[in-house]
Amino acid sequence: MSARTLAGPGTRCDPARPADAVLATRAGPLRAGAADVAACLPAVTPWDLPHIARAERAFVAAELTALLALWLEGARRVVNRPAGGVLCGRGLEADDVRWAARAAGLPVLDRPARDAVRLTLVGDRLLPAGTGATADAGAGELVRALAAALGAEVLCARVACGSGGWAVSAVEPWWRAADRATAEAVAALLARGTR
Amino acid sequence: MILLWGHPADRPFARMVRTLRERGAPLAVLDQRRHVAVVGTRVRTGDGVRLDLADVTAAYLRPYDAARMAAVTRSAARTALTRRAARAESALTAWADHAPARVVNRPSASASNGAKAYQGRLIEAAGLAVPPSLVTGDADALAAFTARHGTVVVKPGSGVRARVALVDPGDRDRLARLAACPTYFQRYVPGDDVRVHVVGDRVFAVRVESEAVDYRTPGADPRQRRVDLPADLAARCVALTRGLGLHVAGIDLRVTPDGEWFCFEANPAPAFTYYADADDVAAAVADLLTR
Repeated sequence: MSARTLAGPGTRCDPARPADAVLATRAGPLRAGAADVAACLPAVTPWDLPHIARAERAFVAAELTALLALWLEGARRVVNRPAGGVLCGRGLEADDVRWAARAAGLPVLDRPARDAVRLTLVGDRLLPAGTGATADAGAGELVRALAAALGAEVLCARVACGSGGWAVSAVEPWWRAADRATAEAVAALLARGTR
Repeated sequence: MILLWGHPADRPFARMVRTLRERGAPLAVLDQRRHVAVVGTRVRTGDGVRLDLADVTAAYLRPYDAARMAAVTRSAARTALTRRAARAESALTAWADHAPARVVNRPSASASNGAKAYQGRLIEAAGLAVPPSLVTGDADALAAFTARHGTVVVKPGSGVRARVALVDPGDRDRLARLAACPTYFQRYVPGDDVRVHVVGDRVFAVRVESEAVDYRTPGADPRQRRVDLPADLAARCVALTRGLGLHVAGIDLRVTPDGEWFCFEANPAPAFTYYADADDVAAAVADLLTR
């Protein structure tokens, strides 16, 4: 489901019964209480809505974002759950991640390092780094600690090893970096139940 | 050091700057219209402010969307300015979310106000009643809701400002457009509005009487008077504010002629200067920031 496929009559969400909330989509109605959601949309933006009159796009985008925040509240399982106004949770914004890491006492680089290693945490599984990269247990522990600081179940982080040990270098949306193994791990996490 | 970040023409922001200056508090005022650069914890502005965020003990934030400000949109260099403003905004917002300073209010804690129906669930969890509500893009669902609850109002479900209006079930043109934008509806509650400002554990309330559905409508001519809330209601307002992770909130209540209380929303950036208790609210916020 994307912002563009949210269409047609049938959407009805009673805040008192979020599990019964229904979204009308082009693929048919989607009941929150029956949905396991891998959330990959921070917010609906005006650019997601070319089918809406230009003057109305920003307003409709904000309203759809608010609607999705309510609908996700009733969903059976969501990774990552909404946090801080971001529909797909934290772990996307470089500044947010840097300050969260500092507040948690984790080492963080001021600028992204070129030789950083990418690690993806999915629940309690840490997926291997990309081709040619090497990481030890210390890197894994750092990514786990960062995910805990962000309240994220799934997190794709780049960490670099310097003279002082491993440090957080950057983050990226986990779905953009996702390979088959990550996708299967997220599916398994959803199937296991993560609320 | 107290950091204030906002637009000098914004009345609550200007009031807080004035109140804190009168107290002689050490301030750093970040004027949103000026260029702001943030590198690590160092902040530098186009009007000469130099600041280390590590020295900030408290902050008061009322930033506007920088990309939409006239200083940016009217500039020939607006693309670069928008990018720069967005970078500074992102850095300061992230700092404000995680800083050990007392921040009024942390941006992430403020976010629930951008999804009113979702926030309504948090309000009810704090023990305040919210009128029956529905978010729908379905004219039939709206008709059923109206049949069940009688008079219904439509209001923005997001943080976008718009006035509350009565639903006209005969307005076919608007109902036809509903499918393109699922909309927030609520049972109309008759009575007087009461704006409650919670500042820490202090509570200030103003009763607003008006014949209009939304007293902010031009020409509504609302009459304001300060009132005391029932103690248990005041305690629930404080609990709601704390539960949302806020230090300061503007809570919109309505009391019916039968004495039943409802809550519409908790605003994390209240425009308190509009209300009769503005002086006391400003003083209380200043107390909080200088504590």
